[in-house]
Amino acid sequence: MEHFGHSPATPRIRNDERERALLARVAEQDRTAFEELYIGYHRRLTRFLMRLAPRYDIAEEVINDTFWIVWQKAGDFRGGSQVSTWIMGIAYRRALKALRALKPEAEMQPLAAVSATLLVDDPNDANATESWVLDALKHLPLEQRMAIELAYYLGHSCEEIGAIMQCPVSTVKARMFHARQKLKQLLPQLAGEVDKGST
Amino acid sequence: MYMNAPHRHTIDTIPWLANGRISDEERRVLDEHLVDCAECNAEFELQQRIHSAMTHDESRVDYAPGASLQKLWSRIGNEEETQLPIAVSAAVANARNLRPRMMQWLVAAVVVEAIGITLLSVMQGTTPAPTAAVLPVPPPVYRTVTTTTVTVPTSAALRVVFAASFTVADVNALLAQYHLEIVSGPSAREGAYGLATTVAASELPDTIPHMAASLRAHPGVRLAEPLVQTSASKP
Repeated sequence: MEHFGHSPATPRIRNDERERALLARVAEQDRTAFEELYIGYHRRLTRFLMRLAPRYDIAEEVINDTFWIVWQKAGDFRGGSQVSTWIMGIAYRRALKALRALKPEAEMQPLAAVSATLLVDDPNDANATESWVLDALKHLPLEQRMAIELAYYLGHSCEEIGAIMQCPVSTVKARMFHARQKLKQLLPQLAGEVDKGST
Repeated sequence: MYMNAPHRHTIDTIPWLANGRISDEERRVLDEHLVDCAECNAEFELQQRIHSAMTHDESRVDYAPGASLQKLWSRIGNEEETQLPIAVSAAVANARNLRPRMMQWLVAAVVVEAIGITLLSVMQGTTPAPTAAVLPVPPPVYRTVTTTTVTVPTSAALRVVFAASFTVADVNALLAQYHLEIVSGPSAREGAYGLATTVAASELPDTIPHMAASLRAHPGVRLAEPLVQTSASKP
């Protein structure tokens, strides 16, 4: 999987330099550079967005809205952040708007019912754990869900998430803290196994 | 429950210890605290498991960047076309293979060129060359460097001196109104232009003498008089 989280700093910097060069060409309306950037982000954004709402049409709409802005505003990028943070920030705001219009099922489903389903299978089974986590994530408020997806799925640093969400680092930490607390409520057996293992 | 500062800081920062996105210095501080804190250790293990479960999600997503990109290009093309002035949108439609930004610059350059040529032509008494569909002008009269004389059309029907404040646009509008065009001038002494009709005499709304009288009444015209049509040459 394409993932930022565990890549060393040097490739990350090199990747940013490459993307800055592409963006400079996009500012000159270079279609080849734009397509290279688009293709590079399409897979990453599609997977990210499909986790939030399993609707390819919505993912495509958010991606194209994002890159329409990239095409229009590439010349406005002043280099204060990484290109990926700038693009993800645009995608985040477009996704937030699109997903809020969807009325997520999670907010309508009682938490107790979800917790019961999470206790059925063996928590040591890796696939089961994965499935539980994915189910539990659906029950987080949207901004908490986005924060944890940006950190764990896309591997962004706390500062990068702050730049993407346009909020202070303290807000990012608070959102993550509340998300983790809620996941613990939803994953009692998983948390119990960890506790047993650590004692 | 009261939490001391290192504990609070560690609890808040554990997600980025789990995803590997903290500095070496930060990691050292957290490691120091983790040695003695069972609660933070348990939290770290739990977050590692959640992180692992999330990163191992390889959902089978069918994605089609090519098709999505085509949709985006169509959208960009449509929106850029609607942003262009109506006068040039037809030209853009005929040149879709050119880059949109380049096309806009080319159209702007052609408009500027047309205005410049028209201005120059009026000042030199030649007819401007046709350019973009911005300024309606008659066919060009070419003059080469080897030409020693310029033939003046014999149809000059009026001699007119325009006011100094009269702009090129004003002149063009007035000429169009009376179906006239500049065929000679300006003369060295008075700055007079020779004007010819652009339509047959039978199609003119008025006679030449009446037209001259009407032009004289115009605030942008200092002098207007009918001419006896003759053939002439200008060095």
